[in-house]
Amino acid sequence: MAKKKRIIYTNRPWEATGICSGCRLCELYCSLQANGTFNPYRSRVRVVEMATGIDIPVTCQQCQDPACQAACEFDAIVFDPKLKIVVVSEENCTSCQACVGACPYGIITMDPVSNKAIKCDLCGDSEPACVEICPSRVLGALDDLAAAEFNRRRAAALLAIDDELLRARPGGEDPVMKKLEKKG
Amino acid sequence: MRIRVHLYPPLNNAAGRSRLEVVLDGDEDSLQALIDKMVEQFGDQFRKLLYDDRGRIVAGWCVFINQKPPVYFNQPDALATLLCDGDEISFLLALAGG
Amino acid sequence: MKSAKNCYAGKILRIDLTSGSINSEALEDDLVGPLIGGRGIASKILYDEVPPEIEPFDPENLLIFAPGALHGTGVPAASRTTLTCRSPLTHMHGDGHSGAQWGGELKRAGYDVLVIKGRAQKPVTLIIDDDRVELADADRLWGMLTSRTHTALRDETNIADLQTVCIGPAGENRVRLSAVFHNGADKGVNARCGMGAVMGAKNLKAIATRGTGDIGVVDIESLKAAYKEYVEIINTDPHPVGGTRYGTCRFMYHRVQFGIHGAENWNYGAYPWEKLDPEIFRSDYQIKAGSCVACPIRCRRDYRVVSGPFAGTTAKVEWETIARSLTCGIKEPEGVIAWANICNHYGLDIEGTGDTVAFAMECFENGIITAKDTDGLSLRFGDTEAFLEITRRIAMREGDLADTLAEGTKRAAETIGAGSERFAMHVKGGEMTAGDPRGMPVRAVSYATSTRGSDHLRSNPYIEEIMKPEEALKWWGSEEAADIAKGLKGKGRMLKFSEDLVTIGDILGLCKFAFYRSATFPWLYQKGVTLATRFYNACSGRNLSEEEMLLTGERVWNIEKAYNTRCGASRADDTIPQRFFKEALKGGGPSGGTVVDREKFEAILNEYYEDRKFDPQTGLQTRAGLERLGLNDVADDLAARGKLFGN
Repeated sequence: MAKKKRIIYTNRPWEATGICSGCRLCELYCSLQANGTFNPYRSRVRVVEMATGIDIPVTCQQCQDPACQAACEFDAIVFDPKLKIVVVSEENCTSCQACVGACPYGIITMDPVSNKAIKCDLCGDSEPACVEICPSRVLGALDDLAAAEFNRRRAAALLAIDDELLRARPGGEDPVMKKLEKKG
Repeated sequence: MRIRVHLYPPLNNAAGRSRLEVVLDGDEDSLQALIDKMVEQFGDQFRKLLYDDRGRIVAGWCVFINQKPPVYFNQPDALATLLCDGDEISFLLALAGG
Repeated sequence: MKSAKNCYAGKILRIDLTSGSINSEALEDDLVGPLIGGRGIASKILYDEVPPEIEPFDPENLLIFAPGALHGTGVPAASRTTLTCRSPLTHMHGDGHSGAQWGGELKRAGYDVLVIKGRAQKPVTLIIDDDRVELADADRLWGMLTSRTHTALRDETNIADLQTVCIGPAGENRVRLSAVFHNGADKGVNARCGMGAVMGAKNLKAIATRGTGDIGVVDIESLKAAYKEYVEIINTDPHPVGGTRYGTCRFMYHRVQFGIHGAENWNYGAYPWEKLDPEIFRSDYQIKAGSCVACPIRCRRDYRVVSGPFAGTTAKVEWETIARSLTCGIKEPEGVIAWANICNHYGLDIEGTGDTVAFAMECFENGIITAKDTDGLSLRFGDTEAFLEITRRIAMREGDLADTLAEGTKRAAETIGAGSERFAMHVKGGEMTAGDPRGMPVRAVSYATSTRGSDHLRSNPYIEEIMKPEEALKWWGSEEAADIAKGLKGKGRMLKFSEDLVTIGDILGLCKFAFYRSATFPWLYQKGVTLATRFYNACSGRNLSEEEMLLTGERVWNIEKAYNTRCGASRADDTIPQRFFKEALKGGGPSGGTVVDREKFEAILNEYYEDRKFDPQTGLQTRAGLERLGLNDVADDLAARGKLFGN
């Protein structure tokens, strides 16, 4: 029986090219897969640029208890029994944006062209486009067990080189972080 | 065995030619042996282009053997690569172009 | 917001800062057909609308922003945006190309080209937010560093993904060595030719852009097939592989192997370089291996200094930053990173700035400039403190000397006089780049013929390093074209080809390291011509042949050449600093003791002119040559001005 998967940022900080380079090919090819055009604002994976040199791809965590689904009052976020994740039903979506506000990862967004909510649907049946295109191989479609194994390995590496990594952060102003700090 | 060698710049200047044939005797059959033979033939200027002060081949050089994907000298067993009679080898400065 | 079928947005946005008018017009086939996009279209608009009667700082000079035709698509390394204007540095054609995302954002907002004319009365920001285009007050931004300008705009607009273009204090002060920066200090630059000063002269502080529309692709399967082939090459071709490992630092090995550093104002070919070893940058200073948008190679580098007097300093550093630091005698990484930080935040082009500082250093070493002129600075080669401080002063025009240097090497030498012209290293006013040309004849001529002043990126001067004799025979008609030191025949033809070749990159918005540099000629051609053409056809729906693509490059080159001719350039200006002809390269090493052989230089230039269909005596273009490219209107215009051969 197929297990539920989610796209995980499988960074390997112990490798020079094992972290997100900020190329955003994932955004471009996600939108190509979903819409046949190139548009990062229609991508379901979004790369967030923080201070100089830090780019992090944020992906839908395919929550067990999705906040987006709970927030939707129009049955526009429905369970797909094959993929075992929730997906957006375009017909029912009223563009109210309740799901957008509810998601703790900010990764369900409004498509600027269709004006409907969009979220990662693992590219349906095919190999996820973002996983396939990433030149640094830092995106993986993992089920829970595989994700756990990866997380354990990464935790070990981070503990081993923790200090070095933190020193690597150059500091400087990040407007998003500043806002979050102000919120307290 | 006879090895056909193509030297790209600036090695070809040090050798005075771009194309040459190197004959390796008896049990000499490695890339290292080929390089040693050429250093012997072309001398110090040639050697200095390939080797740094610590006796390692300078990063940036690689070889193509019979058009196959290149062997980089910072790969661990690069110099032990075995050659065959009639092989065509190009010495290329991989990091040209700024 | 718009939906698109192919990779074009379909419109040109025109801004007049004097009147405040904002208009858009359709991007017509008469531009797209023969010129495709990016640098191609920008060069033609400049030719048509900025005649030599308009001076660089006149309001009628244009700033033409043109993302490459493939920018914003998923074509690998399609990340380049051209900025074109009449250059206040060379007084001729000026342009530069940035690898940041802004250009794609402009297209997503609905515009393939942005043309800015006029001068605002007070500092303004141009805001392009999908359909909303307006000019906003920028008083409080004026004076800000490039980095602050970007974060201030993101804060104010509350748009986290806002893409910006701006100038720093150097551009505001009309420093002719200033550049135009994308997304702050460390993302991308339209550098060379003093274009930041034109933006400053227009009182345009920044352009803030968000575009959420689609960019299309007509044939997705063809795109993907070409992508697959491309990836196979870059995983094997040592050139991009080296880029992934070291970033552009890797060119250090090249300069060492050939002994062509250009150290101490282009005096020394071999030089103490060991502390600047790419392995050291990689292990001790690298933040991470980054990428320009859509690029799988990862050759951009941000470095930071962890300890010592510059602890905490970070900067985007590329090879030319290190090269120009060596030109100033700086031999260790921390000085390089600190200098890059100043240039990037104040808004200076490191290329021109480095050469100008080196010029000043050589003047100081020779007593032409004294401690009195420098206000106590010991402006000697290798003095890091002086290096940093004079750079900052140049950006701020602080003090008479810095004010003079801010005009660029050529003008500074004219002002200072006293024999300093001998130390002024530029071509047509554009300062020297890349490596020393002594001992490498094609490289020497390539610096002379570039249409924007001395420039190695205008061609592929390395092509002679990767050619096999039999390939040279097939392509340029002689085996000796592949022999750097001794060959002559075929080199002029080789140069023309390499210029047309890389021009394709700027038209399409493809990075030169990704497509126009390679360890072998077959790979170079496969990437730069074959795959580039297939990518373009897949995204645009057109059906160009490889010959037509190369012809487009040739066409664009000819427009720029005509522009320069119109500004007064002739064969006499297709030359290089006298130092390279007259003074033997110092410092020993593989190229030590060489000069550029004048006879060889002229012979290659002759063959080049012939292949380009220019008159060899005058360097003027011919009607036949221009009409062959469909540039009848350019021929007519040149003829009317008495600048066409035979007219």
